[in-house]
Amino acid sequence: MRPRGCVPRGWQSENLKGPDRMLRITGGTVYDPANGINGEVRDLDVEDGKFVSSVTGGRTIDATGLVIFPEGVDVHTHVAGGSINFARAMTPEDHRRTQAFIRSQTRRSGLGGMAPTTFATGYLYAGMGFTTVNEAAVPVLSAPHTHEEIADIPIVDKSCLVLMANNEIMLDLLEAGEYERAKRMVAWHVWAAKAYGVKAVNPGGVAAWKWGKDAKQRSEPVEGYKNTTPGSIAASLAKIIDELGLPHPIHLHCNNLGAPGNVSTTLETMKHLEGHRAHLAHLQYHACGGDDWHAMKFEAAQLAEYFNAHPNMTTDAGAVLFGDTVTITADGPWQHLLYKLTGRKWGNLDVENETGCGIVPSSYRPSNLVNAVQWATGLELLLLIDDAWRVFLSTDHPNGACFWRYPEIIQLLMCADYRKECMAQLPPEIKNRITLPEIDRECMSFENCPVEMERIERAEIQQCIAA
Amino acid sequence: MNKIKLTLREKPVVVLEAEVISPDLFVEQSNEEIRASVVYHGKRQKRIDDFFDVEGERSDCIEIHGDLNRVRHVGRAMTRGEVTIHGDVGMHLGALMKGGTIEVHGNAGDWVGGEMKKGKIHIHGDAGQQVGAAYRGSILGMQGGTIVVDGNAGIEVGMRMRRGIIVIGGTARDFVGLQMKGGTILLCGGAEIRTGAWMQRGTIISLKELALMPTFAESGAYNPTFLNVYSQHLQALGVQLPYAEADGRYRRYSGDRGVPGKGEILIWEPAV
Amino acid sequence: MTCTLGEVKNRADFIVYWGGNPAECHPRHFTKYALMPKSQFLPRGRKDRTMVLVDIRETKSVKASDVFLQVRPGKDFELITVLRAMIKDQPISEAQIAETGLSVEQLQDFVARMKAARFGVFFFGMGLSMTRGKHMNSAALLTLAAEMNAFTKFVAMPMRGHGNVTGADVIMRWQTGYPFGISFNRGYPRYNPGEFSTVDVLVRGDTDCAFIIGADPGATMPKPAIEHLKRVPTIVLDPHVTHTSKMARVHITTAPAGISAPGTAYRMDEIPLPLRPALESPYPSDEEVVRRIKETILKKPDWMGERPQMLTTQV
Repeated sequence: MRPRGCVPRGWQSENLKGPDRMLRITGGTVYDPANGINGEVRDLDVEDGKFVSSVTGGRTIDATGLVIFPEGVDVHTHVAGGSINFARAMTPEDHRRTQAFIRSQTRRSGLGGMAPTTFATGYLYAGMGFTTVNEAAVPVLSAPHTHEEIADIPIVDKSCLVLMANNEIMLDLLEAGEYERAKRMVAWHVWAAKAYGVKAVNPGGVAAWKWGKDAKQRSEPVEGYKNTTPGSIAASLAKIIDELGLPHPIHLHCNNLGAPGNVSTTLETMKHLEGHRAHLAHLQYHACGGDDWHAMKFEAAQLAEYFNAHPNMTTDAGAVLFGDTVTITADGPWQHLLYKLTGRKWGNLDVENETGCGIVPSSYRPSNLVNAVQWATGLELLLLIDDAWRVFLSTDHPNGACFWRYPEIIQLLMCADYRKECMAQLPPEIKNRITLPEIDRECMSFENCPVEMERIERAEIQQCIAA
Repeated sequence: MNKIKLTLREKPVVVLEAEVISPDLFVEQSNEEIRASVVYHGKRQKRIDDFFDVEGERSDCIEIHGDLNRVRHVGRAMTRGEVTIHGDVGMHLGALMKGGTIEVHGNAGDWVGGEMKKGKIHIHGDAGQQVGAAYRGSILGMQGGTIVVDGNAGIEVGMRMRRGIIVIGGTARDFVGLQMKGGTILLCGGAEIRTGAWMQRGTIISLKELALMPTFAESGAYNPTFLNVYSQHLQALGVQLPYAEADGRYRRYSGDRGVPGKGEILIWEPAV
Repeated sequence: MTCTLGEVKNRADFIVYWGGNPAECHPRHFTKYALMPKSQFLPRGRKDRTMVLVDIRETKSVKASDVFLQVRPGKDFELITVLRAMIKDQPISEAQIAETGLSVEQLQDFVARMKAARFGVFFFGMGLSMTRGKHMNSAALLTLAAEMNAFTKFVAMPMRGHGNVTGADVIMRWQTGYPFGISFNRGYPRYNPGEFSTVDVLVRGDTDCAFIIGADPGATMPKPAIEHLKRVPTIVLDPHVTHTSKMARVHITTAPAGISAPGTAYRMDEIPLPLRPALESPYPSDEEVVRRIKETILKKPDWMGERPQMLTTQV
């Protein structure tokens, strides 16, 4: 991730001349855990995009009564590209019921909701104090499309990850033991897709989906291959990425997403990756215990314990909030299952050579046991992982919930009483399946919780947008 | 009774969007406030009195005169009161309404009572397409209430409706009751093709012969008892529904098997 | 339920063309994507694939097909619904099937072939999507493809006509959330095909101006729509003289996109193809003309009036 607190947006020195190079922000309450500033009222001075001890001249912003905190970074979101665009086309009924941004001399029109339009995406993220978003799934074939959309997302910085783990050429190379060539191929793909890193989705599983099948077991060969297993794909990719020295480690979406009992798959994957850096995406979906949907319980504690002991890993929570959303993922098999479970609309889009994506609108309901457990698990992960610098707030937008609902999660993390209130609406059967009621941590303690910094309530977001 | 009377001076050049013509708003507004209500003439914001003469104030009883063919969204989401229109009216009449009544002495445009929940709409002339239907992408169309059209109707009458009654006095066009999930549609003058296509549940009654989809199967002929109740209910709306065995009986078809669905289509067979 | 053409090329062993005549209308489709190519999974090319053609009449494409199903005109929707019932083993009588113009044996054979395929694909043309029933005919085929996934892999794809229709569709979606039929009169996008779609707006005469870029509605639209275009000020940007440009108040000649003006075109499967101009043109590109018009409009007084920046409930 980018070094914290160095270049405020729009103040890159090359664009600015004379007094515009200087900026002074006065009277704000500053929180910056990385530098040990905890709620001090002080002035900040910026010159050429860097904080300096003092400036003379330039513009001054009066931030009295406002909170100043480091930017938010969304490491795993889906805001641009073929799949979210497919989702937009599928959900006109949602566009009609969400907030609308009205065109003005300085702003473009747009719609919020489950799959916000590009301009609205920029406004909504900026309104929450986020400045960097990472589009987590780009098939190399349609990367130019993703970049065209990214160019239409205003204000925030954007990066993207190229999908690799089901690339047929790559699987063929690994099958043949051609590790060096595979490595060069990864490098070429990162270059060709203009990506920041590599994402691995359901290694081997999407390749199998193209025949309507899935890769359920980590140690069994992928459909159509003899030696290559989901485990070996992930391990090789992690090694390649480390050797190439990419700044972001392998961004791994494990196999068996959302299926009961997948926690063993996830733990096994984590063991495969020992000795390499790795980022485990939306961990909540990979923390299911039990043997079937009825016996489903979540094993966040078990995962968090392993995770705490292994500093080679980072993760994002993939938290879930109750309400309507649209799920989109490159995990086609899971989406077909979800379509069969919900009986609602289903879109599927396969892209040659690498990936596919499935799109299913769905709702998370507190009365649904599985959803309730997912809700609790997302929060448990965020609360149980000790090193807050290694866990990111995310909902895998739009899968768990839309990104503009992050303030709700922050409130849940910061306030144990509010959590209790929300837990009251969960079904009683949930008792022995979650550990959330036993956690009374509140992420107020400033030393180890960067998420706290994003403490803004909805009303403030509206104000920010209005400003 | 206190009434608000709107008279359209001349037909607008482009579409006039006037969702503010609603008893819920007018009941609390003075004449001056009603006159100043914002309507959209194309992309421009205008006042109601740029187009209408306004008499009366603070009433949930609205009477409108003129050719409102290009005036859309009248009575949108209303929950109470009465709207009477003397002349034609444009699209989305009474869409999303939750109560009250609308009566049109003329023709209406598309989406009459789209996704409505409650209330009553009576069109004395013809209606356009998608009467009581769902908007694109929505799962549910009409969810309650009554729509009576004395004249003809366009395609997709009652698309995805869940509850409520639609009566078409004349002929309906294609796809009556498309993907219907419940409720009742009465076709007094029959319909063109694909009636009941993809219906899951619900009842379509036709007093004329219909060309049915191949995925409907005949399952007997009878005089269902619930029709007595229906008939009485519809009589209050001025609609005659035959049910006596002496007059004839209904052939029942079930489908649509392509879904597969459990809807029924009843076709009246008068006794000879 | 769709995929890219490369997937078809590499994997599809069962291809159905419905309501189209690819041999004459998309002559390269057979050889480049759908029928002839050999691939890792279909090493024998054409021999590994089965092609079924469904159409109302015999066209030149019949020769290329393994099975030809001649459906009675206007019965496509019925036929697809019958197929939906048959794949779910719902009883349909012989007489009912006969209505579609096909026999029970033909359909049973078709269903068996669909289910036995490893990767099936429906391509549908204007013969399906532009005949009576229109969007519901396409919806029917897409639903059938979705339901076939309970048995095997199946996708469906429209055979798009003109140049870059897909591109317009894709960009409208990311900027407004909707593919077409959009109104901006309230300051934010609203969608309602039938209300805001071009042909309906013109037929009803709901506009007082028309601005047309790279299209020729004067040649394809119904008469009342063309009459309306003649009545209102119509501005056309087009490299060529067209039916529409002849009746327009203003015709601005622009550089042909993809030949003299650079940009991105989207293939029918939404794959972006960057285009580099091959020839120089003395005319400005469409983009430049539109940008200059926009700059001029910005100098006019703002007509938006007092509006909130954001709405929580839309109309």
